[in-house]
Amino acid sequence: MKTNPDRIRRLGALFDEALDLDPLAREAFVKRCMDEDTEIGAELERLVLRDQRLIGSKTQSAVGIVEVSLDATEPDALKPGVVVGSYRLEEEVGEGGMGRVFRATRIGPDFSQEVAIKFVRRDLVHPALLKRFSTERAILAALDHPGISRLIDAATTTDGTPFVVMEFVRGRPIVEWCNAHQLTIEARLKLVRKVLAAVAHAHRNLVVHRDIKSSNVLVTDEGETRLLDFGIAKPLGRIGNTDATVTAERFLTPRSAAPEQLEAGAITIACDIHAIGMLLYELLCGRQPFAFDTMTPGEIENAIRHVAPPPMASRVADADLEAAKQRGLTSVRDLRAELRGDLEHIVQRCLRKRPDERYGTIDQLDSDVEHVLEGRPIRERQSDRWYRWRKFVARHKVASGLVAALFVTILLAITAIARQTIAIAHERDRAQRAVGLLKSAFAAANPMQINGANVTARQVLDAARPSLEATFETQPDVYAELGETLAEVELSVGLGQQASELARRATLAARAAGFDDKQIGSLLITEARALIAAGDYDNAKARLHQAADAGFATTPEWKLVQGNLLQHTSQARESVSPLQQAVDETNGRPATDETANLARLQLAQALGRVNRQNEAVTLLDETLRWQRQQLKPDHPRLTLTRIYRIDALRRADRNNEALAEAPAVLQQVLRVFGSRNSVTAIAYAALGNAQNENKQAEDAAESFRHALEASRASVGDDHQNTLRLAFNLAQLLVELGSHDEEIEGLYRDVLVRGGKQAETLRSTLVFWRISFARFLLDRGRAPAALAQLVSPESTEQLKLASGRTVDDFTKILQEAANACGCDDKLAVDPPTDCAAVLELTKQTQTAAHSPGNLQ
Amino acid sequence: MSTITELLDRWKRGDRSVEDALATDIYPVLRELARTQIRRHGGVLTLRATELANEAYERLHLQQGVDWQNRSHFHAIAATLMRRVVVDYLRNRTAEKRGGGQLFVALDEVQQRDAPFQGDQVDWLAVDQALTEFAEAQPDAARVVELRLFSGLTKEEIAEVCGSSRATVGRQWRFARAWLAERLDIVPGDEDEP
Repeated sequence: MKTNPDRIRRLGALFDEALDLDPLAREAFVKRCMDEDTEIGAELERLVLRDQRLIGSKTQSAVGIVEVSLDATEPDALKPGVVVGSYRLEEEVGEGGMGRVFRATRIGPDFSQEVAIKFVRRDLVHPALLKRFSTERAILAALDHPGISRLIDAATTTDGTPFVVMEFVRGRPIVEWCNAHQLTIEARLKLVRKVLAAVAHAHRNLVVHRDIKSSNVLVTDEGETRLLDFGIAKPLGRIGNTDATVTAERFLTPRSAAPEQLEAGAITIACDIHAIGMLLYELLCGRQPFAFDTMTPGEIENAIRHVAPPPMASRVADADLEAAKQRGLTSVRDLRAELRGDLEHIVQRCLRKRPDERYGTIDQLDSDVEHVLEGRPIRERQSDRWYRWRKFVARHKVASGLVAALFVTILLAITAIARQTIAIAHERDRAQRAVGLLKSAFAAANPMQINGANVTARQVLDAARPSLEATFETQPDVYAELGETLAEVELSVGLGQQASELARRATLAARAAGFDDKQIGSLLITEARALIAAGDYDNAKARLHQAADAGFATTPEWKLVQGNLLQHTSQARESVSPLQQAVDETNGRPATDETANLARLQLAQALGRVNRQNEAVTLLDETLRWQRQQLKPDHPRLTLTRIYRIDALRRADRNNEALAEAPAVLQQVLRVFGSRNSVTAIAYAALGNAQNENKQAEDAAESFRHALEASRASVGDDHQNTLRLAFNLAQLLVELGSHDEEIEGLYRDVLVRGGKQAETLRSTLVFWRISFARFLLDRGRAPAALAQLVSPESTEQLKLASGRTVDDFTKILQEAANACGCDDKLAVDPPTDCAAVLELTKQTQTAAHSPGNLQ
Repeated sequence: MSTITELLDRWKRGDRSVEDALATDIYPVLRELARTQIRRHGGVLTLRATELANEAYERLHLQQGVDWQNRSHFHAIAATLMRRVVVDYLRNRTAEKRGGGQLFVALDEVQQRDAPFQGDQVDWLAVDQALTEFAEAQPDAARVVELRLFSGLTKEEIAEVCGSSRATVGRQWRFARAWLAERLDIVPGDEDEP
């Protein structure tokens, strides 16, 4: 049967129709087609099946295809037992891009000599390669170093296959060896220094290895390193034959290649530096910078060429305990801590995409590694700071050359300030101008967007901090202005603690510099905001009072923070009025205005808490309209409003709408902010709450797990938001009635971490403990519940709690005591904790009646 | 303005009649570049579509002052020509060495996406034949296949060059891919079976 155009067209139309249907409906559709026309129906069925099978199909790389097909054509002439020249092949020990490698012995009186023979695949032999191969001999002869495997011979077989004979090295790849011997980070670095010595020797002889990777760096049983396979080494200074270069790149293992090797750029020692960076990365943190195993060749190439390697610590997963143990550490946390700082800096510098940004020589790299081993600071980090700024600019797509130039100007100015070289007046003016520029530049890189790339933003902040601190004594005016800006940025990435500290110092600096009330008032408000974020409400209140004294109580900024504080101190009803005023007074401001945005979100939240849910939804709808008129649809501010709206809808008994909206919003959040962001945590929590309301408790729990993960990754394990999410998840799981182990882990984690911030959490912490005790009691574990309640921490924390919470505590304490049989005079063996109950009860009675704690 | 620039301009505006004329100018350049590549690889034809088209563009730009502001359109026209290069090359080889079945063209640009054909070996002459047949019925979808297989353009660029949406191009690709895969599973002798 011949296919004809009409038939194809008909099939095309049916195929299209079939694709629009869900699988079940599709089957029915195909069946209907078959009933109408057996042939067409059957062919349609086959096509749909083909399509389904081809979806997401991945094939091997082009290089792979060529090699596989050619291998199939070549008779297996090389195998153990075959004699080549004066060598007998013993076993195949490896296969590289260029050919196969055998262990062999020399025939003759001295046959104990073991050698490695590398055959170059004949199908790959072409003039360029042959020429290179013959030069290899000369190159290797020049390389006489204990750390480099020695060349013994080079020739061709009778059928013309070229081969080299090298010293056989009995050893294991360096990564494997280090893990097997559980080498500490320090010992690993020492081992790498041996490799560096060998590579440096090769470089001094104008040889670049170009394919350094674990399988080419063996460690002998004696712990000595040997570099293998200078097979594609190329003498420095003979670069120019680009054809040969392009060809040779095909044989490289892409994942160990430097970006320029994939772009046919100049091959220099920078390639080896990059390769050593990759090796160091894996040796230190246990993983390669990217998950190459799950990536297609195209993705690998893209990652190597364009994607900056993530910090090593971030590649260490929570489940990587084995990796920590292999490095003589007891926890993943310790491993992450070891990887941060100078080591991270060294590795990143090796892995720069641009060769000229990497270490210039192996000796420089070696010297930095040595400094780390000796605990001394490493070389000047100037280029590193440059790099971060460049990345920051790139990431935020402040694409216009103008803004980029702005950043450069600022950077120069800051560096100048930091170096205190601005003695003369006009230079000082320049620095002042730079301050203004920096502020506007930060404004351009909208804080919300910074939040979207929190890691980089934090790096930028970290980089900016030392320069800033240098100005505190000498130029308090500069410090005050820059400090406030930076504090705001830190605040927007969820770093309340750091922000409040910075704002406090900025206020001090402002006073020292003799700033006027207006400027100081603005700083005080920023500080108050940061203090609220850090959970320090008393001091926040004090700052707000000071700002009010400075005449700031009439500004919407002040009212917003005042309302925010009232909400955080459980005074939602009182917070509505100042927030409403802040909203009214910021009417007409642009949709990018921070205060106007925050005021609306806060007011919506407050309204929701005082049973004015419908008003909250209306307000958020209005806010969305206002934002949509001025901002792009996927602007972070719009996204944030939509998250709040999900919560508002749920509270307003419109949970169906909330559920329908949540997944779309979440998708957008994930796209804009990524999975490890504080906003993402909020979005997941909003989804979780809506699911829970809809009795999808398991789904809700899953959403909360995601929220918790995002929160931990963005603001850290100890942050209050993280703890609250963990507590919410625990409660949700309690309602589900299973997952006991997970619940207990969550409660314990929350109480231990929260315990460190008892001063801030106060009643909340006691409330959490009561909830945990309730869980234990319900599970029939009264002694454990009692132990929790009477523990020293519990006793301490109770002193900070408010009256109502103390009452609840007393009740559950009594219940636990009863369940343990503390009052049972006949009990043979009452728990020892019983003794503490009486003491604690006395304490709570006093506490409950002390005027300061009555609520 | 050189002739090639003019021709490309007309082609961009949808004038398909200039394709032959364009081919006359560009085809020799592409063919020569392809030959160079084949020599480089010791007889193994590993065409890198993007690379070839880029080189061809650079050469034309240098030699004849071809000024073409939109590279993706050049790549698109080059795809048609590239297909001819491959087919001509394979035909010649087959004529030279009977049953030269060990020759494979690996288009690395294809491999990075969901490649249409499973397995290591692609019989590009058969692909060409089937595609010609397919084009009679579905010229637009066939064009998409040609671009996917013989140009280095991304899906978005293909959509732009074809003047349609990414979704449409995706749909056309899926049907063509399924149809070709089905078709190429059939050995020539089976064609007359019901």
